[in-house]
Amino acid sequence: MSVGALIGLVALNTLFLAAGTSLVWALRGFRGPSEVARLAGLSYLLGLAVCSVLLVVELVVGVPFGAGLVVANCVAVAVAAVLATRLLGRPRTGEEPGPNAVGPVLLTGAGAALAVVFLEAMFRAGRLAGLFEWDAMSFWVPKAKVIYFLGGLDERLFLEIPGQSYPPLVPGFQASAFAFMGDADVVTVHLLFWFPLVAFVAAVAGLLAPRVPALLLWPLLLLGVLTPEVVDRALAPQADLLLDYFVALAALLVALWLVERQTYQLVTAAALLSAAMLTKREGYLLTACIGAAALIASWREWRWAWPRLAVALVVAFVPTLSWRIWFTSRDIRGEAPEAGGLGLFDHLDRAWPSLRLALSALFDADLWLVAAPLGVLAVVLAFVAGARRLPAYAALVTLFMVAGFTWVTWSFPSLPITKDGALNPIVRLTGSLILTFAALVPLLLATAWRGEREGRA
Amino acid sequence: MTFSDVLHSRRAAWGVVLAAGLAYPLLALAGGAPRFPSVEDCEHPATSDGKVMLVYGYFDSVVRAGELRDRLRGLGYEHAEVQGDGGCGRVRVVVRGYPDLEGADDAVSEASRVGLHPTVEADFAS
Amino acid sequence: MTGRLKEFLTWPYGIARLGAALCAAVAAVAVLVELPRALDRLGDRAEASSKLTYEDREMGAGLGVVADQRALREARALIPADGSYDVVTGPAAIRGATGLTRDFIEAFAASFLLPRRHSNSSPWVLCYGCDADSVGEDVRVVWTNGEGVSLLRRRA
Repeated sequence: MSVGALIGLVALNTLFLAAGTSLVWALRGFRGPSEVARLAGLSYLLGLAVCSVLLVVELVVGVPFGAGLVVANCVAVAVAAVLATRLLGRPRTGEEPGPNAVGPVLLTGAGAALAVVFLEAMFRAGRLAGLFEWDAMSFWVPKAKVIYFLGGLDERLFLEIPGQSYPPLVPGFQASAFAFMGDADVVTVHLLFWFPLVAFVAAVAGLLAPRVPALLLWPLLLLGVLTPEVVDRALAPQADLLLDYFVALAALLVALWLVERQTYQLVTAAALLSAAMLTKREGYLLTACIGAAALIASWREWRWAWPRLAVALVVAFVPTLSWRIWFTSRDIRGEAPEAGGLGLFDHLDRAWPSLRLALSALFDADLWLVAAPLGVLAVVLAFVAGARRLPAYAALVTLFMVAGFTWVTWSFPSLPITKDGALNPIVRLTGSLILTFAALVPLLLATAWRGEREGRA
Repeated sequence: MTFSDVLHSRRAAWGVVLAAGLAYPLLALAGGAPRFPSVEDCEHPATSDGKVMLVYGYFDSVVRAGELRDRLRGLGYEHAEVQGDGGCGRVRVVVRGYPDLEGADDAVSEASRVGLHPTVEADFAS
Repeated sequence: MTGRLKEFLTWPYGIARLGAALCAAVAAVAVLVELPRALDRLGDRAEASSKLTYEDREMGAGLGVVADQRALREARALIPADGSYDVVTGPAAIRGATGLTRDFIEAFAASFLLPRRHSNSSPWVLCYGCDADSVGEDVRVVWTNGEGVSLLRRRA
């Protein structure tokens, strides 16, 4: 709760930003300082994703954890980015929108101002928050404490804490915070999750500002983060919202890649999806949804797109093998659904109630305001305007994610059909799609506004 | 400067962001400077006469505090007791009942002769 | 003006533009309505957190579990960081216990007392409504609140 703890958090997250900025520079370059600033949110989340995945692999193989390791990872990533540029050169940035905001810049300022006020209020609310979140108290924070106090994945303690198969990216992230704060400060750790929230808003705004009019961008982006569920849970020391940021930003980058074909977009998406899969088990499901949607949406250019997508998905998946090997070699179960595979057909009576629950949660205005209806409408409008690839991708992401949410409830017959978060994870799951809407809908509406067919040959 | 100029002015845009960015914290600060809680918040050095006590030590454990209390009683401090620190999670060994600072300071001098170094604090529990 | 309005009603591009504008307008209204509510909620949360005592803030969710914070704090102060502890619950009355106490005290202790490990054979025992005589041989009461919660030490 001290000033020192806050300084430690700032230092840690500055390292992630620096590592990520080096990566973005290596992947696409910057046209000037304003572009560095515009893409700072993307840089931070990319740096966080890559450094955190690296940390997970190191923890699995037994590298002793400490603040020095975290610093070394960030430095190594930055140095590797610089060396790669020197050795391989940097991909041509190609035709990309310029760094300037579309439309009256004062409107961008107004949208940013509202975001700043909201984020400041979030900071103030989280600064002295006690650890009242049950899952955080029960396993996310204890796992982080184990890594921090004992220098790694202490097998015995990890096996005693609930959620044994849950990936350790978030505990590693929190342990890094403890190391930089100098103490397992379970109060100030809430502010650790403020940085990814800020970065998500900045990343989406930064990527879309040159592509989307401010009047279409900011209302839809702010709507996503002002939903009651995000406001209430964004600073909880848990994995849900961090997963959502990784997934939503990856979905946006894949969408941009389908239209603009910039390599850095797909590479960055792969890194974010890898981090998503090591954040929560649902990360695999959501990655599959995005991957499948992209494959189908790009079927007309399958010779060009499919190999690249396949490589990206494989590259995203490979680092997660380390964790899977760690827990499966220790006979930890709990991964597979209770009614997996053909077992679903023994519970056909749950199919429709599960789908109805997923849709009910998604369109619940008390949870998500009007984000979902506007998302669906934006897809339709983009189709009406003559676009195909982008709205097809967005529609498929939506359909596959809803199917995935349905499958989760359907395949675990012990889960009651309820939106009570203590009994069924459906509300947490739908958050991924809502924040994906926050990222994609401005792009869809811009496409609808322009009335053009997107994409190039 | 026309309205259109303002709409397209980067300076105006940054001005709006800066104004909003400063307005919220300033409003929040109107309610007082931000606090950084610590266990020392439960230590209240006495600054005036009134109910004053001597604190012989802060401990994380009642058991450890009890050991010091017993030692003090053995030295003649019959009224030494263990009490909570008022919300910071620690306990303290205290001797209460000093009506003024002068009396408390005298007791501090006396205690130092036997190797004890109590602090003088306000006694809110009375 | 009517020309521009008519443009918005042409199919398909005008309708798509009109729809996009309406979506943005609806979102903007929702933001302007929800932002003050969110700021209010966040302000209330900040105030509530600020009013917590230092120890309650540190205890967090444990406030609804531990019945008496002192027990966990004694355990943390007395058991070495590389030591272990056991948790034994029993049916005896515990003042301040909630419906969560007996079921979740072990889970909360596991988090609060880290890096100390839980062990059924540990000499240290957190006793919640237990019968001290039944937890082992040569049991000594190190601390008790006299209301159902104790920290015991038994011969390992």
